[in-house]
Amino acid sequence: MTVFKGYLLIIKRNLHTILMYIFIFMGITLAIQKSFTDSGAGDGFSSAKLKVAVMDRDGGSLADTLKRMLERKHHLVEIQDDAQIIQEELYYRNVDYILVVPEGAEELLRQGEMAVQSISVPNTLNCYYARSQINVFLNQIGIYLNCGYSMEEACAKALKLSETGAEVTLLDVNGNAGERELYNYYFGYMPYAFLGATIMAVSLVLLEFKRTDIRQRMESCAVPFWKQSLAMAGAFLAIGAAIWLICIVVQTILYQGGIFRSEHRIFYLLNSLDCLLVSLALGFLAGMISGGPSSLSGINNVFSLGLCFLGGIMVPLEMLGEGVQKVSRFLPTYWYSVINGILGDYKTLGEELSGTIWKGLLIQLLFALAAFSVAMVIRRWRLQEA
Amino acid sequence: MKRNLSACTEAQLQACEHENQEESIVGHLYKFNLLQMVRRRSEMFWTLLFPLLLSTLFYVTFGTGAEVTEQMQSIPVGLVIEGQGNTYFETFLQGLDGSAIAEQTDSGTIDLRLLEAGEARAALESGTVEGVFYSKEEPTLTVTGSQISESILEALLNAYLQNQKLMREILEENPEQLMNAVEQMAHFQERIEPVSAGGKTTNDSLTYFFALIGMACLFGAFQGMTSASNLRADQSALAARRSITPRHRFSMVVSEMLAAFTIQFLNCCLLLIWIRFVLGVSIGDHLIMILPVCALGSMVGVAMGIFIGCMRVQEGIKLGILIGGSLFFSFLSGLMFGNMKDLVEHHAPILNRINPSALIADAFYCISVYDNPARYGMNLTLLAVITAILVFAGYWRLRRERYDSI
Repeated sequence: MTVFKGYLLIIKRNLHTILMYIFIFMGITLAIQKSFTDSGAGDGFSSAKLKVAVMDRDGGSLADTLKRMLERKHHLVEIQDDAQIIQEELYYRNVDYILVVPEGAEELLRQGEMAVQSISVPNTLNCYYARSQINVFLNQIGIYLNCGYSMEEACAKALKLSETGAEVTLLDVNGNAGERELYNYYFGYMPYAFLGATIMAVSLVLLEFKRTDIRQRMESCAVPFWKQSLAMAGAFLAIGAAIWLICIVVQTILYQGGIFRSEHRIFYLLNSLDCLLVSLALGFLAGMISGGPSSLSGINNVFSLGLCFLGGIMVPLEMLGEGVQKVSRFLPTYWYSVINGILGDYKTLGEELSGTIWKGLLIQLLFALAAFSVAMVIRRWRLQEA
Repeated sequence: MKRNLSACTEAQLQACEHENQEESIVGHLYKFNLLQMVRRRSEMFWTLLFPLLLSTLFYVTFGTGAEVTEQMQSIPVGLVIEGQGNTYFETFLQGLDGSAIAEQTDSGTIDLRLLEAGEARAALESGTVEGVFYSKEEPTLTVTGSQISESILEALLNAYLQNQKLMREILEENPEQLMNAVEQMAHFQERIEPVSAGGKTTNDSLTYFFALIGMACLFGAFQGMTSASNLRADQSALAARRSITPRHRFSMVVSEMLAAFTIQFLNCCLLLIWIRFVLGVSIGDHLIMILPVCALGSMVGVAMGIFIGCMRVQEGIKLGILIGGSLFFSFLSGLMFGNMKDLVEHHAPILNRINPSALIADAFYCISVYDNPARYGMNLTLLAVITAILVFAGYWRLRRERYDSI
């Protein structure tokens, strides 16, 4: 018990470092959560709305009609008609599509020419989405004009026509109208907290116990070696359990029950526990290979950031190229992300999806075991050297 | 008179000799400071290896991000024909199908797959298709989400239904113009002319690299802080030994600062070479514009470190201020959230004028995204002012330190 308490005492002294990682994780999660509040999934299908700006350099009824049509379908944003500002707003995605209605646009439309101009990030989904709607609208005005209607009449008729909507059915595959639940995003980022906090906690303690004077004192004490190892394992599992519990309790409070409202709660818990075991094993390994606190910080950052970036924790897996994903398959965080994605996207899990989940859980366990084994071998060498 | 002159010359010679000695001492100290700094693994990790590692991770993730997530690709979609179906609607969809028009264009809007009703649901659930069109008298669409792809499919169906309604309207109100309208609809025209915003790129993932360069420059504070502790006899054994040598303090301070700056500048250049030539990220080709940013950024980092190193607080607290401060500045310039600098610009622009990392990131924006010499010049000027303040403050704390006991 004395050894166990000794481990806990050192953990307590480094509590601020552990809490820092948990707070960073929660900060990132809440920032992401805030960015999703606008999209708010409803009961049925609702088309995506872009941030569209209209630069009216003509001042005629065409520009006015275009504004009214776009206002109904998208969010209209105001930006200054200045090249530098337009570039900057587009670069930072404060606006998705800029429609310029030049002087004489109505005459150009009558002549069947390109009547308006667009500024957007080329060849993107957003660009295509807005462009196709505006093109259809302008062609409809063009047809009315050709059929003898005046510009005002044509605009009014096309505007009325644009109210015609199709019947779209939303097949609710994941029980949340196609949107992932917010707690799923929380769980998506959780490995960063686990890896950062656990690796730091475990390895900092190990560093203290690696000091020659402490090691010699422990070797000469009456507590047998196996009991010392047991106390060490107990202390690490205790700190791991504490970190895990904090994260689970916080999500329960933040999301009114969070995963406990989900049918997949067991899988969520198993996945997070697997990730915690991986973090503990890596922490053990980091403590064994590091030479001092300064190198430890480096090793921790390499492990945690490397695994988070390559495993689809910091950015969605779809953003990683195919080649990167091939490498990532060897990482436990990749399988954590895959499982979390499945749990967020599907309400009912078929045989194939369940198989993928179990495979992912097993791979994470094997990775933890492998890291732990390597750390044990290093520990043995170190003890023999001493 | 002659004797006086020779005495004067002798004094001048002595002064010159003394100056030369000081110069050679500065050179000597500079050389050994350089060696010492290169051998400090911890500082070299944070100032060189960590930025290299992070830039590689950024490249792996954000570097290809714009292509994968934002680029328009054919949307896989199912078509279920119910009963007799709707020939007009099917023809309309075939006109948009990538496989059908592959000979004329690189890629169509949709990738159409003919499915049975049962297959369609399974395809939707597994994510093989983004939506399923049901071809019947009044065509409908079934989707599993409300994202852009699904919205594009809805817009296509809307366009079909609106055009159908338009024809009916013409038929009712203006039947003699019907053929004219049909002909016009058959020749759907592009009415929008795409124009450039004027910048060199709209790839916003560059923001992360700009902020990363800012962070790497500020991490020069690790070198600066160690330099400061090497000059303060109450902080390290080396400084205690140095403080009893019969050398002018100025030469020691200058050699430390110069060595720290040299190492940081070289690290920064190596990082830029890595990002530009190994990772192939376009951060600008104008070396003459990049190098001053790199030099001033390195200076500001080192000066910040020296300033923190001079604080009369515990070593751990200094390290906390250094890491917390540089990461906070980097966060504000967009290291963790790309739009952060722009958000600050809209709500508290003054922060962007005093944050060295934001100034560095903005200077790179001016070099590689949108040419703006005035803004670039303003960024450099502000960086120079911040550096001067920090260097002066650091030197003020380090000069003329005398110890009764250590």
